[in-house]
Amino acid sequence: MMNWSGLFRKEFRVTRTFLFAVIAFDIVMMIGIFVASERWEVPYLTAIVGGVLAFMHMFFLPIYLLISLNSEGRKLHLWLHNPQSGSRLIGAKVLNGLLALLISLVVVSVLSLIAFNLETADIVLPIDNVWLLGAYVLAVILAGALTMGIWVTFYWTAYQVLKTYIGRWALLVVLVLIGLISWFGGWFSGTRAGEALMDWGYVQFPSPLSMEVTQEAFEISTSTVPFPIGNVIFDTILLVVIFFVTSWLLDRKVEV
Amino acid sequence: MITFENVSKRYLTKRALSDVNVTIPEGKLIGLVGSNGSGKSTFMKMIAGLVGPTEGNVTIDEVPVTRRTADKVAYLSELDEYYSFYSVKETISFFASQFADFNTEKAFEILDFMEVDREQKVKHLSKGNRGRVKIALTLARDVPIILMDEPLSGLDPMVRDSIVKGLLSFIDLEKQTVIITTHEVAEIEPLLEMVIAIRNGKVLALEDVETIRERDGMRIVDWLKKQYQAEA
Repeated sequence: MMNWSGLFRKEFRVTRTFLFAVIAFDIVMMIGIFVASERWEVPYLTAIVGGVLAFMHMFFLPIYLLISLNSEGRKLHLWLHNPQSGSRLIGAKVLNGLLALLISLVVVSVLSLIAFNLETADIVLPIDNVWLLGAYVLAVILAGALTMGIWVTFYWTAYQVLKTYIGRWALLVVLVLIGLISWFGGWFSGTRAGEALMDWGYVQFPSPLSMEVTQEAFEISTSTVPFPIGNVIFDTILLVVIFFVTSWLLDRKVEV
Repeated sequence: MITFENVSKRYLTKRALSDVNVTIPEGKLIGLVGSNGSGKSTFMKMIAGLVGPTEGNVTIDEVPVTRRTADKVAYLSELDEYYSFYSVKETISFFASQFADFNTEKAFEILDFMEVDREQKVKHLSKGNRGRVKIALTLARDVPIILMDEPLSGLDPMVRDSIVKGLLSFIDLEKQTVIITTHEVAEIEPLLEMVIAIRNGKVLALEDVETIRERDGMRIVDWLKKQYQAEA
């Protein structure tokens, strides 16, 4: 347990500056937009920008991981000379990144809600539907961030492996690999096998996708949409496999 | 016991180690000597599990070496890299959290012996003091194998002398095998029990220092030159 907490705390220190910079950007941006929306008399602007900022957090984890991994890449012997498994070394980074993402997201969400209340004091939010919308947005952001984050870690590790054997050509090969895997993913999902693996288990899922914002009202109406559980299960299994392949590469193939 | 069996290592077009067959006995202080680019660092990294052989096997007590062999091996890198955001004390604490065998008390004892301020940020230390921190981090581990790649690099001669004298008191040769690479062979010669000569990725010889002195009447540097001449 002590080695995990030591690793986790170290990971926080590695990327602390990035997190603080993002939070500072969140705050400056939200206050700036709030002041501008008062001057231009555009209600909801801060909340809308807050929503856009929240969605941009989908890219937080991959960028966070890339910064963290590149920092370790300059001193690989220090990171890899450690009896802990590759999955723990990478897992500490991913969990740290997720925690940092949530911290930044909470800052943006709280500032958005405060700005909304200050800008439109007479409109009462449909709070139950706001929570549903929040949960929906959070799930989309986390799923997108985790997917990109795990793939970034895989490609970074593949680059480290290839670098030993082909030197500077490794970057080109990894870029080609990214293109090939993306193309294959798109092609495979359209095949009969892909549909059999992903396109099943439809359930009616509550969706707050219909939103109406006017000067007088803020309405979020909910409906249900058919949602394939099979897709989630397939993507989850794929991500777990990629995570463990990455860990194996780190344990067995990355050289210092 | 560390065993290299038909070990070769190639990087792109370069051959770093070539058909190495050597068995390193336990409980010895061993010098790994050779010219620049002879394969010393690759040899050390292979024992630490940070580099894998292209051909052959490296084992410790008949178990193949992997990265996770780090629980049996303490490795001091030749590189001057560290977690710059940590103070010396925090670095010690981080290592103690990662290695179950890490002796924090011993680490501070070594740092005090080498007069390093434990409150300082590592990035604010001089190169020499960072070198001393690396030595403390390595010797504070209670492991069967200690690898030190150029531990004296960046240290001034006076400090080197004091560290070399102090090394023995922080190593338990009943239980530990220590392999050191250094260009300052003469300075560590009094400590060494065995020496491995390496050139162009080939291990030329593994010899007792006592034998070199008594049988050949030579210092290690002269013995190394003789090995190089014989190879050429």
